[in-house]
Amino acid sequence: MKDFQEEEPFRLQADKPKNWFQALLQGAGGLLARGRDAFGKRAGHQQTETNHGEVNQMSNYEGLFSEFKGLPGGIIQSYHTIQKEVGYLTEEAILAAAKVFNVPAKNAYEVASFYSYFSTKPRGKNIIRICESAPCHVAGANEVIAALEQALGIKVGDSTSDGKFALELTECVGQCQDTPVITVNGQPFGNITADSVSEVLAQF
Amino acid sequence: MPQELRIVLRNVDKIDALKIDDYIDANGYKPLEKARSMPQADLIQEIRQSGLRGRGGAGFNTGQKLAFTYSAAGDQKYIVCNADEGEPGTYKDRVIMQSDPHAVIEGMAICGYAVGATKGYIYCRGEYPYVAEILNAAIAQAKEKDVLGEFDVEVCLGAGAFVCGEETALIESIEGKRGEPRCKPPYPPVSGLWGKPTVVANVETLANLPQIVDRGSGWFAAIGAAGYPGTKVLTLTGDVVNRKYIEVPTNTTIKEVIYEFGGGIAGGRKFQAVQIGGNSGGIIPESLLGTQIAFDAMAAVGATLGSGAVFVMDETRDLRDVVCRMAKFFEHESCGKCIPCREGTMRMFDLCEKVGQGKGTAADLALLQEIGETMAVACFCGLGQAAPTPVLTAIKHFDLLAGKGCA
Amino acid sequence: MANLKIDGIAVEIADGSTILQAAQAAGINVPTLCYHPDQSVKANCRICVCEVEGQRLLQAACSTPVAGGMVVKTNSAKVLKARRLILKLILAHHPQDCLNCTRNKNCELQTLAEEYGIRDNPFELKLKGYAEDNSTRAVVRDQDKCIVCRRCVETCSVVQTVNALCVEDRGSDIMVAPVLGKSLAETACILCGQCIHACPVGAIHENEQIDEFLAAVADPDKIVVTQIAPAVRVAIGEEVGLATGEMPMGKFVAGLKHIGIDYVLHTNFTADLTILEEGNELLRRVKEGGKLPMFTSCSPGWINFCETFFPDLLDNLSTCKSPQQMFGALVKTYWAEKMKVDPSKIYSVSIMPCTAKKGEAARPEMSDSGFRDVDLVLTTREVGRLFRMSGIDFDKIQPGEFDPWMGKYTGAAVIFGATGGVMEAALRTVYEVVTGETLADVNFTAVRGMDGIKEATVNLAGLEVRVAVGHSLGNARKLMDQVRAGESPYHFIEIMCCPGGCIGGGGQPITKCNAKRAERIGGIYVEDEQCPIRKSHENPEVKQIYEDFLHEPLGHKSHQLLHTHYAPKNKSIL
Ligand SMILES: Cc1cc2nc3c(=O)[nH]c(=O)nc-3n(C[C@H](O)[C@H](O)[C@H](O)COP(=O)(O)O)c2cc1C
Ligand code: SF4
Ligand code: SF4
Ligand code: SF4
Ligand code: FES
Ligand code: FES
Repeated sequence: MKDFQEEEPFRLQADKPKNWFQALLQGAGGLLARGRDAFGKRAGHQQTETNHGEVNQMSNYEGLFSEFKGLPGGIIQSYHTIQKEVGYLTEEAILAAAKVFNVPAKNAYEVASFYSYFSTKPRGKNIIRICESAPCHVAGANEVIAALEQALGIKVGDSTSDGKFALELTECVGQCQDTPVITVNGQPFGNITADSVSEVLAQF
Repeated sequence: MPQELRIVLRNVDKIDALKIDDYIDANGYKPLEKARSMPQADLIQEIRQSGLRGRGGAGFNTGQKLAFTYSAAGDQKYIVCNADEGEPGTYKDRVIMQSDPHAVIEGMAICGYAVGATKGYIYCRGEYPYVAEILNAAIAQAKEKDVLGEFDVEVCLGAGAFVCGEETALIESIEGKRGEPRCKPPYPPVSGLWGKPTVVANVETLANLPQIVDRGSGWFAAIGAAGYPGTKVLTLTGDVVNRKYIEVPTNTTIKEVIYEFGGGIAGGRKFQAVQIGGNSGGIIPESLLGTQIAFDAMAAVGATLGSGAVFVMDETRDLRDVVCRMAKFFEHESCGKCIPCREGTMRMFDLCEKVGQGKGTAADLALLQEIGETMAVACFCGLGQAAPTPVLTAIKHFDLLAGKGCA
Repeated sequence: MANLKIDGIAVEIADGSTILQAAQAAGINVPTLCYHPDQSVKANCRICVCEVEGQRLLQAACSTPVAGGMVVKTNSAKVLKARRLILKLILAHHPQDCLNCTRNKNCELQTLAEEYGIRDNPFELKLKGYAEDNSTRAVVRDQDKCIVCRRCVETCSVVQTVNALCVEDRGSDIMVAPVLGKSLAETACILCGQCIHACPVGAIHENEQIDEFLAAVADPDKIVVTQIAPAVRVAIGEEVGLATGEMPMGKFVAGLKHIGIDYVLHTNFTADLTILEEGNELLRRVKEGGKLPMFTSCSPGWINFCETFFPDLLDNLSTCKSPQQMFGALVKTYWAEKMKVDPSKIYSVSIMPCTAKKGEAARPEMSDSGFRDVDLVLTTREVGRLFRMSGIDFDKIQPGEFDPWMGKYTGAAVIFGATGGVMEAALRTVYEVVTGETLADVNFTAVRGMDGIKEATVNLAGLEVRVAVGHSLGNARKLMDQVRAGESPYHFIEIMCCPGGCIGGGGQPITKCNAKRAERIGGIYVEDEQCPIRKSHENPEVKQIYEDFLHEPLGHKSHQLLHTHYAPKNKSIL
């Protein structure tokens, strides 16, 4: 008999016990940690080894955070700083933030995982974002995506293997007089065409 | 030929945004002085009488909002400038902040005096780090010139979340939390930032205030549409000849906006539809182009003025594809807190994709309608309530099953 | 007071009440999912939406305050349409797995699906396909079943202040999961299982070990011996259709024999023993200047918490093992000797109100008998399932009796099940031991009840002893912060991990609210009153074990079998 659950399109992992009988059969043998990996779990995102900052020690992070320490609500601002330095929010950075801002790791992580500009997984140094909101969409965002994917040899959501670029999608970045728009490290580039993509990349 | 009327954009190309002296020479910070010479209640009354209503989308009378905050009890009160500008196709707040940052800061200081707040925050979307720099420079200059008195302003940079434009989500974000909206009531004027009475106002709203104080409520109230006086900054995108921003009185019609200011449809093609107010706005067919770009006039035809984005689609656009793209926006930007929005935006996007591929059926449209109608009344915040608007209006005015060019 | 109309019924209710409360007052049941009577209002499920005259939007009953003159419709066509659609949206994202679910027939979502007659669903079933997280020995999370109501998160972070669970990501990616994408075992989770009670569906449940139990009773080489924890009897009836408190002990014993258990003994016996050991330990610390305040150590969730969050205060913990583990160590030594059975054949099963006990029994150091002291821990819920599986009719079954040597107990042991009970039991004994007088009134009511922190001062022959009682770890944290700051005025502190004490433990019949906990506490004190002996030191079997085996409290044997020590957990994610 075919297993009906394995046919579900969104059921990614087949090792889930089908029911409590099976769960019990796994018994103590099933007591191994089978948690998810926070830093690579979203579909379409591949893990890169990139880590271009040298800030790895908890103490260094606390140094980076110290500027915001007394600032109420400063955790988001401090995450911006960390990302500028390290490219993404490492587990150590999140735990350090929790310490500096005197909140449980839970709160620090909940914030880090909410905002689309924060990433909790390694990614390329220069972050390219392609606006795919409707005005850019009708102006040819799909062609820009295709051109960038081709030029970089990666898919949206991935980073180049040299760790130089990460390719992400974004919604409107507020430069809609010049659709289609991309940003690189937050800097906007308008009226992008398949041809002008390489010119932009050459600047980084 | 209708003309632009520049109130909030009056200093564009006239002054150097980074020079406070330019702003002061253009009568800057005098209105603040004038405001401070008035009793608070009189100042609030003046603003109320001008009829100024919020330019961030909800259209609430600004003077009324100040009055609520003024009368709310609190040892500390806050003024928050909503510069999260996330509606696709909108960049008017950016233009205002880049060209005339002091107008916004002065507007905040006027509110601060009116309600008794000494601290203001500008919540600037994470997409605008370069605007935040300008704002910070302007604040530094204002402090140096000591024009703000005891009023202090700080810039907070968002981090990519459309929902943070919703005022309570924005407050959560300033507090360093997930940008999820709060239960209302209590509303911010009673309990906002750190539980204190807070005015949250849009950039454009605030930039109007110095002019209103300077020239009087009567002057302002006489401009544009009676129920929603003043001007509106609009940003024209899509298939218009002139993709630019304009500031026009609120009794200007959509048709005038597209054809007089926008120069008509690009490439000599025919008009198909226009969406006003960003991704949350309704999709409007040709028959409604006579509508004025005022809050109530738009609402009367089942559309919204919203952020003032004007996104024009010509006859060659496949509406199904565009609507599908809009549905994806909400699926991506839903904060996920409430079930109808989290699940509903996801299902609407799925169904729109199917319709977009030309595989849609009447039952799919009926289901889209059913989800949309429920979301519109049952979602926790304005994001989910408005999310179905493009889909529902497209279904209402166009035949999505037949494909493009239909009306 | 506000006067309003709900479905045409006039209601008068205090200002500040919600529509939900007003509807309940009017006798109208508005459906809820994210609402929890003991928690903050979340208003995220939207299933409770109602129509309010004059409002374009539907209003969530759980979060909308009433106003004078309000006219509310809770079941208009518009309302029902919205609720049904919301239910379909949830169900299309939820495994259609009721038959295999621990919460089958006891699930808030399932109930609503039935009540709203959801027969078909236009939406394609979408599951994310996460593996079950069974990284801990006690608590299992089934991510796919989660409806993201956040009730467990509030329990874990506000009630327990453990912060093991969080809301992660956003939009349709959002989920409630252990922090930092870890498995539950890697977080600070202290295995209390309170999140299970908070959950409206079957997304969190105990690590169910019924199969292991069935295999053990079927094995002719195993002598299955069981102990019943003090808090179980008062709640087990709820699992088999009886009212709270309504399971006579004799019938409970008979039921256990019926499911194949060879000997039925009682944890209450070691609860009484704990009082003698712990009471003497307290007196010794007071007299000899040992670490004070001393903390009770019978609640394994609390022990985990102390090891994780207050490793610097471990020396304040009583060295006494919990009654479960004292029992485990004795059943394979003392009892085996008395009964002349081979201890290696004993399979010791404990029936506990608690999920953390599963973790405690598995601790490597808990093998002082030379064997695994406790082989298997079943929760009250699991035993309920076994009872139902065996088709026992508790109305008709003839009562049974406890087996000898470790089955007798006093009222002092019974009250271990409620917050304040260990303290009260200790005071009953310590008072008489120290003063040599008989207590006029054994009821120390100051330490009873659902208040988060209770305190009392007792005069023991001129010695003023200050005691405090805290239940749920949020309250424990308050008391511990005081101790850490050197500001604690107490000599002796009782901490129970779970709200209400063990009667509200993570393994009890699903306990949505504190009102149910209070009801069970009531049952506990009734049982105490009915006990012929109500002081631990008067338990004849306890006297016997000191005569025949242990010789004296805190003696050599006790040290070997009944006491232990604790080590910091060194968790990094706090
Ligand atoms: C999803 C959502 C997004 C919003 N985004 C913005 C925004 O980007 N800018 C803004 O000013 N108001 C936005 N608003 C409206 C605000 O909640 C609020 O009404 C406004 O800031 C009040 O200022 P005003 O009275 O000056 O318009 C948004 C509302 C919702 C529900
Ligand atoms: S959680 Fe409820 S609805 Fe879901 S499978 Fe279990 S019983 Fe069924
Ligand atoms: S078992 Fe207790 S500590 Fe662990 S996640 Fe659940 S509530 Fe939190
Ligand atoms: S696990 Fe249960 S209690 Fe926790 S959020 Fe999910 S459904 Fe709610
Ligand atoms: S729509 Fe792309 S930048 Fe605004
Ligand atoms: S019960 Fe009211 S919104 Fe969930």
